[in-house]
Formats: sequence, C-alpha cells, structure tokens
Amino acid sequence: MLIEEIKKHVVDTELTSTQKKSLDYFLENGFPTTSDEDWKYTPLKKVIKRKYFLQSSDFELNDEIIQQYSLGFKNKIIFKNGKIYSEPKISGLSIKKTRDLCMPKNSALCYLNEAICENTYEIIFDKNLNLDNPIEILHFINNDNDYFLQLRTKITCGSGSNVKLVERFCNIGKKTLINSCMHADVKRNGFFEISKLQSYNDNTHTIDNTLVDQDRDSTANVNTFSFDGSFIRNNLNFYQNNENCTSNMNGITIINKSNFVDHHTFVDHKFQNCLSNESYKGVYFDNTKGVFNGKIMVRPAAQKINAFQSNNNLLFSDSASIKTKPQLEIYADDVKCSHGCTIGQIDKKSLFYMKSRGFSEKTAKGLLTFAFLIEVIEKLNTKEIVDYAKTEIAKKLSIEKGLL
Amino acid sequence: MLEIKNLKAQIEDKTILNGVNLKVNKGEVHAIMGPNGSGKSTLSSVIAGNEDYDVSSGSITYEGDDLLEMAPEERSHRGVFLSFQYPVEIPGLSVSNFIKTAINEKRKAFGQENISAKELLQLFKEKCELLNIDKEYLSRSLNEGFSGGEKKRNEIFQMAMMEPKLSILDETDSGLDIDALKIVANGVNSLKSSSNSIILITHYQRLLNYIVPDFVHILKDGKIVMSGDKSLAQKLEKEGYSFLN
Repeated sequence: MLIEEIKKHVVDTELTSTQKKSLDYFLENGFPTTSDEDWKYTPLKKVIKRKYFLQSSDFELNDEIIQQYSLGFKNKIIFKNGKIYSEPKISGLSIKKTRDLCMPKNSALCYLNEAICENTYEIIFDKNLNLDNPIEILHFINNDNDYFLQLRTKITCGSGSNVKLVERFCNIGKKTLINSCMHADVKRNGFFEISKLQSYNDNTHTIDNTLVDQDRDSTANVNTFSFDGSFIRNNLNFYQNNENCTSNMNGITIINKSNFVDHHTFVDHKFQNCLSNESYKGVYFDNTKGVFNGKIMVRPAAQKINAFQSNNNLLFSDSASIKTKPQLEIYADDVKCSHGCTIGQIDKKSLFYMKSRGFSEKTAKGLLTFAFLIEVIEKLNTKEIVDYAKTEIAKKLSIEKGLL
Repeated sequence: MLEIKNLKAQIEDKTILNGVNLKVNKGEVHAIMGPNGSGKSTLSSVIAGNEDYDVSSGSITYEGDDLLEMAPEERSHRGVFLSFQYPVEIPGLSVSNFIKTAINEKRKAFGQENISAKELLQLFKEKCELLNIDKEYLSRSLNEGFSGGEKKRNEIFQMAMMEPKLSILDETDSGLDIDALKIVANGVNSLKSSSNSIILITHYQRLLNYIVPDFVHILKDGKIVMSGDKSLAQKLEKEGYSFLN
C-alpha cells in the first residue's frame, strides 16, 4: 500500500516541525475515500492501491523531447522529476528552492504534499513586471520505478504585474501518480493566468491542487484543458481576499476510453464588488466518467458581487457518465449569482440538418461538438493556447483541424 | 428525375403518408399544397432522408436509383436539397464555414479537390448579390439570432451555393415579408434551369405568383388528391380546401 511506502520514506527524512505536523495530519486522516463528500465519485482507491516509489532517479533530457511538449514559447521553466532543470533569464523573475513553505490546503493530499515534497520552489514575479508572452512550465517525469511524485510551487505575482503561464506535466517514463500543489499569490492589481494542458498518457495519474489568493483589484484566470489521462482530479480554489477581484475559470474536457476527470472548484467571495465567472464544458465518449463540483461561497461581507457558473456536458455513449453539482452558499443579500448544469446528447435535428447538407456523420458531430465548446474557446486570449485547444479538439473528434 | 410510387410513411405508429404518387421531370416546378397536417413536411423530410420517419411501403427513385437506400448526406451529394421550414441554429459555426464544408464534403464524395479560396470567394460574392445579402452576414453564426426571414433567405443562399438538381422548398415563404419574398423568389427563379427541378411546399398561393409552377398538387390525408396547373392554386385561394369535399 502506498501509505506504507510513505511511512517507510519518511523514516530516513528529516522533517521540519511544519512538515511533521502535516504528516501527522495526513497519517491520521489518510487518503480521501468515497465516504468524503468531496471524493464521493472519485476512484482514488484504485489509483493508490498500486505500489509506487517515492525515491526519484535522474534521467537525460534533450531538446527534442522538450520541443515535443512545448507550445513553442521562448521562455520555459523546466523541471525534471520535480527538480529545476532550466529557467529563463528575465529581469524581475526569480526562482528559488525552499524547504518549508506553508500553503493553503484543500485536502489531505495537500498536507501530504507539504510533509514530504523535497522540491519546493518559489517563483516570484516582481511588481509591475509585464510579460508579453506566456512562460511555459514543463515538468518532465521519468523515473526508474513507478513513481509517486510531489510537486510544490508557490507563485507570487507582484502588485501590478502581468503574468501568463502554461503548465504541462510530461511523463515519459513509468507509471506515475503526481500530487501537485500550486499556490498563486496575486498581489494588488496583478493579473495572473495559467493554462493547464492535461494531455497525459495512460501511465499518468494526477491530482492537481491549485490555490489562488487574490488581493484588491486583481484578476486571476485558470484555464484547464483535460484531453487525456486515466485519472485526473483537479482541485481549484480561489480566495478573494479584498475588493474588486475577478476570478475566471474556463474548462474544456474531452475524454475517451475509460478515462476519468474530476473538477472540483471553489470560489470564496469574502469581499464586496468582486466577480467570478466559471464555464466548464465536457464531452464524454466510451466508458468515461466525469465529475464536476463547483462551489461558490458568498460570505456576509461580499455584497454586490457577481458570480456565474455553468457546466454543460455532452455524452456520446450510453456507458459514459457525468456527475455534476453546483453548490452555492450565499450569506449576503445584494448579490447576483447564477448557475446551471446541463447534460445532453448531440441534437438530432441539428445532425439531420447538417447531413442533409452533405456533412458526414463524423464531420457533423465534430462540428456540432466544436460549436458546443466555442463559448469557452472564445474566452481564451492567447493565440497559441487557442491553437493548442483546436488541435487537441480536432484530434479527439477525428475531424480535420482546418474545419474548426 | 424523381419518381415517388405509392409511398407510405409513419412516425412512431402514426401513418402520415398514405400512398403518395408523384413524378417530377427535369426542369419542372411542382407545387404541393394542402391543409395543415396533410403530410407536406413529412413528404419533404422523407425525400431528404430524415430517419425519424419510417417508410413502410412504396418507393422513391431518383435519377434511376433507389433514393431510400441512400444516407441523407449521399442524397445531398447527389443533388437533393431541402430548404427547411425550421432551419436549426448552430452557434459557433459561421455561415461561410458551414457552406464551405458542405461544398467540400460533396467534392470529397466525388473524389474532387477542395474548392479553392478564390473560387469560393467568387461564388459567395455572386450569390450574395443574387439574394441581396450583406457579406458581413457570412461570418455570423449559422442562423443564430437570425429573424425568421433571414433564416429562410439563408436556406436559399445555401441552395444557390450548392447548386442542387432537386430542390424542395418547405414553406420557404412563411415568415417572409413581401420584399423578402420577392428577393427569395427572384433568387429561386434565377437558379431554375432546364436541368434542375423544384418542389415548392406551401400553404398559400402568394409564393406561386412569383415562382410559377408547372404543376400544382393537393395533398390531403397523406395522399395527393388532385393535380392540375397553376389555376388550381388560384381556385384554392378563392375557395379554400372545402371544395375538395
């Protein structure tokens, strides 16, 4: 069992007092199970029953592999099995390794991460740093043994900074379970955006915890593209810690085979005059399973906020399923909140209309599905990201990209 | 071009077409009129290949081949075009991209290359002029937020772009104001030739003032009960369907 491996691993590791506390918390609570409300539909048990090793090994990384996973941005921060491998030289950007870094936590996995992650990095963008192009964060993973990898990053976006990131986990090795914790601290008037490209091979299971703290007048966007991966759990939390914050979440999920994707999001509206906007669309083929749980908390002081949430899903097979749940808790009285979830199939009338114009079933379905997704795609503001999304969508729908 | 023999069709367990016979030759314009619920739209749906309807007996032969054997897209490739009574809205898919793909799907079916950008632009320009359509409209999402009239005009625009051999216009006149009706009729007339045929399905004689049919058929209770020339439509207009009794 994985928990035994963890216990064995920490015997030889010197832990700080914070780490020790976190470890105790984790060991006391263990991995979440389906009796935890937030993990009710998440087959984590299946994932953790495999024997993974926590010890990492080294491997050779070359440009060819890097190019294969890169969207071609000039600036890249590259990690190898969690350790920094290369970083761009940008004035106003500093990256440092640190040991004891406390972060907000949204599950026992975050405690575990805090306790045993050996490679914790702080990425600091100075105030008023304005990046023209996104920076890619590429995590390459290749271990000698099946691997339980902890990634832990804190990103600080200084006040008035403008930071766009693209993050990708690239497992080129054996079976790996990734437990990643990212904490973004967006200071006053900062702009932070991260696009998570989740196209994993069958060997890769991921638990992705992303927590965003926002100060006054800041904007944070998180785009999550889940196209492949046998097990993906995303925990995405926004904390609006001052007035006039904007939080945007865009998600596109298209999966096939027996893949599983679970999006849990949480927005904590604590102050007035803030906005949150969440739009997730999912397309499920074959025997796939999806979960969406979007919680919005509007605290008593959070007057005059706008919170929008939608989750729309298309099921392409009788054996595909999606469990979707909007969850609004509103304790303020002068707010505007809306939410909506839909689950459906491709509209038969539209399909016939297109066929009667000569479209093959495949092309008609593909274009209708793309049309279903377009609302989210139109919210993306980076050409390369739009291009990536279209490429992956075309691939998934087996249609030519030129049609999109 | 098209020969329908003793066609019977049903939706779920309800028989709607109860032995339709119709022969349409090249270059002819046929009008099919009839009271509500007589089966007009069902007939057009069955010709276009809507799988919601079951054909229980009879046959449709198109250019010598069994039309009922063909998938809807194949019928389209072979030149059958249905202008829908209620065209669907597809947000996110532009009119131009939709039509371009439709043209290319047909070309692909015949092993031809995709249409060149230059050729396509020229065709768009020509047909926009024909139907008095602003070019900006090509980049709008297909039928999304279109008025009833715009949707119908868009159907005829697609017809103009795809140059079908057999066009079925299902109540294309409903929802059109008189100016739009003239433009649409004008467009249809200019697309008419000795090598293609048109079936007009309509409630009113009004459209037939602009697109003059060679034959008028009256469909009632799933059967063609009377056929004649354009004067039949005028008689209907004057006397209503009650004269059939």
